[in-house]
Amino acid sequence: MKICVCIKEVPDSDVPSNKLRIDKENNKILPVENVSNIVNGFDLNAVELALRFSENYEDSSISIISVGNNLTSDVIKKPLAMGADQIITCEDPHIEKMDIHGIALVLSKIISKTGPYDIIFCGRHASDFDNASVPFGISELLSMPLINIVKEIKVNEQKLILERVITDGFQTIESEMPLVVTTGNQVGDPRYPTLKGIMEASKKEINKISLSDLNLSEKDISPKLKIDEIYFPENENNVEIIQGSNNKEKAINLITKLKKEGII
Amino acid sequence: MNILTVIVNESEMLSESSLEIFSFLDEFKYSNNITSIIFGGQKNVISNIPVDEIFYVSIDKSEELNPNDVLLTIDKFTEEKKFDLIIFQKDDISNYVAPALSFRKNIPYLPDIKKLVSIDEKVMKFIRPVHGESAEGIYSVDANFPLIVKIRKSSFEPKSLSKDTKPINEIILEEALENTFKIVETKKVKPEGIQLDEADVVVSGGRGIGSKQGFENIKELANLLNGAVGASRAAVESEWIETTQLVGLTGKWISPTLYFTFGISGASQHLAGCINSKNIVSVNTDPDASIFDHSRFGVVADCNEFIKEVIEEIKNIQ
Repeated sequence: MKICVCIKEVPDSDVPSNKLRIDKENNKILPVENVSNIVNGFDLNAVELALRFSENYEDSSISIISVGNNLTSDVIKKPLAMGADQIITCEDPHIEKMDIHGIALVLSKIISKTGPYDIIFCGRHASDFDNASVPFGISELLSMPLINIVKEIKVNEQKLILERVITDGFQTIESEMPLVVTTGNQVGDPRYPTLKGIMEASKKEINKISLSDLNLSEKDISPKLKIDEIYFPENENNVEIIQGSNNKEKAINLITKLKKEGII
Repeated sequence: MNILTVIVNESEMLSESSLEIFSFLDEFKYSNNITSIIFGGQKNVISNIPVDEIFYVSIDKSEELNPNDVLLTIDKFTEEKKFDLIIFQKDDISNYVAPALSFRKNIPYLPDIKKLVSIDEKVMKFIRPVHGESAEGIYSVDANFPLIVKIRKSSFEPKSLSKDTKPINEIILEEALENTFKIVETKKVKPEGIQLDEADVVVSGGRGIGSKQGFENIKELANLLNGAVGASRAAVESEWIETTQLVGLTGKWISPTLYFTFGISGASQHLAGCINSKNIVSVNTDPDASIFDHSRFGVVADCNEFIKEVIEEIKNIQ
């Protein structure tokens, strides 16, 4: 069973929003000082589901694929420390300017070049630009079905039975391989890397593919959508901090305010 | 411009948020020809939506709507009729169909639009939030390209239905045979109490609540205020509360009159889901918590201690 998981390195989305800074020149959110980037949270859910899925098969391998620019090797190697077998990257300054069509094309080319894979896992969206689109591009470009927001996969002979999350519940889906699966936090916490896993991952080489290896023309990857500017919206909000010498007094003051303003 | 709006009604009712699309369209000052393709819903309501032409796709209620069938139907429909702009709103089906259609037709796609900045013969500019809701981006696209957008929920006022009744053209739902999946069963999970996205008051707990036990207080306060229980991702991931109660980019998007948060710091992922609340009241031990930047009232206190006092005080005045 050949499995791949697409991951993206992003700024830590659990950092309070008032600590973030913007790189005006390149129109992107910068990592917070002294806080390292992370693997996009939903992509780690994808790694976790891929690892669980691979346990159904005696002979399976999981390849991690990541594209970007100036990737941090300690960050993107985390899935290896969790148990994935190898990592393939494509790094290029052009990648930062690409839109979803460019990124999906690059990933699809890497998948075709290093595959074929039976199943391709992706996080449902990346927390930096929130497009929730690239996995659909992989599915369309490679002509494979896509099941989005999957929390569990069971194997039934040649068919897969997938539990898909919808707004008000769950759907049981039947699909054949190959397919693209996206994941959210409903998969549950990704496993912690073991010390042995971390040691092994640190020794593993990153397999690097360059854009030119993929035979892509300038036109293929030039973005149709451009970001003119990224900025923090002005916060005109002025919070009123409720005072009081103890919790009881603060509670009374708060409820009095809310009542007076007609909020409750 | 020729504009297509896509509306998916998973129940008989016309979803109120689908009418937000038409307020967004008011921002386009050029003369436009607006067509709607509508999947499901009651025909007598649909005939009054404020557009020039209406196409209706009847849905078999005994079967779950497969997004791949909707995708194929729109793909074929837009081959016959050409559109400069295709507009979706946020729902389960559209979240699937809009990006997939963008790749199938090889045209650009912008999700979560909250504003049209400008439009002329050369370029269209839109604003959408990025990094959760903590920043915004101005995106530009060549106006010669067709474009697919999805509007951000609650960014536009729902527009009233028109008094004029338009004829309804019926088209048939296509059945995708390739690159699709089979829906075997659908299980709806109905959370107890008031639905999160309809509630006028939502009381949410986050990491600061610290335990499943702590959520009992959240539930009690929500109950007293006739509201719903919400949670941040940290609380859901710790399994203190069901996933259905998640407020945030990846959960429910809410816009209650009162949003009461306890022990939530205000990471961008959470703000995305609650930023449209009319009054945010936050309780956090950290006076610099970023949730306070978005709150009308803030209380710096231990949330588990403070909530007990709030419960008592509410009981006193009721």
